[in-house]
Amino acid sequence: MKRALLFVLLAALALAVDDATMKKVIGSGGPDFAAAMQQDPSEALCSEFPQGLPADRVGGFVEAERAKVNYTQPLAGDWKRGREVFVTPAKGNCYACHAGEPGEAAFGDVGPPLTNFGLRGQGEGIVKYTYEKIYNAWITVPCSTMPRYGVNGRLTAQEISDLVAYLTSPESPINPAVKGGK
Amino acid sequence: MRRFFFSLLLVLLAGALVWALSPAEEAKRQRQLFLEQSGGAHPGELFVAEGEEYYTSLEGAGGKTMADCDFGKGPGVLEGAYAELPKYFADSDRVEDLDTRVVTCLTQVLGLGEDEFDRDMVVSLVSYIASFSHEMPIQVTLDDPQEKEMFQIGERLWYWRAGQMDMSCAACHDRYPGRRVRLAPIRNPEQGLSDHWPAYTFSFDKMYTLENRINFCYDSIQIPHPEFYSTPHIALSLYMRYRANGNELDVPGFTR
Repeated sequence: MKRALLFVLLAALALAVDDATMKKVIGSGGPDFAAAMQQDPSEALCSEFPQGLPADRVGGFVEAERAKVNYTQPLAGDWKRGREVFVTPAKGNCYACHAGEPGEAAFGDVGPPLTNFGLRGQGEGIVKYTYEKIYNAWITVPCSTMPRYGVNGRLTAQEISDLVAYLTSPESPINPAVKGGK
Repeated sequence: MRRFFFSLLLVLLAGALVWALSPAEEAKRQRQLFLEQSGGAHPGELFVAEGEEYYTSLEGAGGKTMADCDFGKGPGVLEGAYAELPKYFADSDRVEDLDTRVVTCLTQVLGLGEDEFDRDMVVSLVSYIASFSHEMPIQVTLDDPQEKEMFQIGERLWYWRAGQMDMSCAACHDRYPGRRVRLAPIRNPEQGLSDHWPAYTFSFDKMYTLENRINFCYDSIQIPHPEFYSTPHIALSLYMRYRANGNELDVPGFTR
């Protein structure tokens, strides 16, 4: 661990190679690789500051990210469809990083458990927060490891609203401890 | 053989579910279980043996053999060579990992054409040559300017966030070592992320090198992987191995 920390410090001090060299290197990996490695300005900023954005960059970053959210109505859709999105590897693939329904044992722990997420409430505020969190995780936590599902088109607005319903609805099997649920 | 491995895989996966709470222990236990059930034979050794066969039998133009190739310790010297790779080679005037160096040997020293060898042959040869560095400490240096630059390229790739998942190597391997993606434990280079490649991967019943490992990573974060033997592979291998300096190589490795 100590070695890892020392490394992170050294990395911050090291002079990086320039962008033109990186473009050439990435191009050498082939056209598909090169296309996917294109960055938007926020990805580039998060790459430049892997230990966290400098304080004076956070405001502008969050503002730019917030402008990328497209809201759909209603923000909470159908929890049954949301459950499919949650478990499907090519869609949400949420179990890769989060615990969900109590019966699912094969879950990752990179992100916080989402079991009984509905205990946080069903009001307008929590529904909007949940929608924004999935659509663009970088609004609440700049450069979070969580992908910006909506911004990147990984999920549609409809699919995100269905996920919101799956997470917040008392009917949802992810919420066994929520009153009025199953 | 394949059916045997497949049924074994099912048993191991079931075991993995039960053992979900301790990933490191789980990996160790799976390996032990596998070795016990296969009569103590490490399937990676089959690929090493195949590599040895190629190494000793291949012949190129003018009677050149693979023993004429220099993997870093002089022509024909394999002991400890892999532990120092990737490194700069004067004859090709570039930094090469073992995969790339094998291809350089086949094409430049033996004079083989691109259609006279394939990826499987390269993987077997890498496995054979790497096996001469088993249990040796990784000793990668940045003495040459090209090695230094390659390291810095690797470092920028390591932190490079891109693709539909906004991911980079560091976003998982540096931020969350010790945690799991699904059931797979996350390690950083210091913890041995790259120490056991080339490895026999039992879920595919195949031998894979560190270049394959890098490809898995990119594919899993929705970035189509770079072509084999390209600079991103060499740079990331050098970067990870330099951070792992002093770690003991465990090759051929054994993994899920």
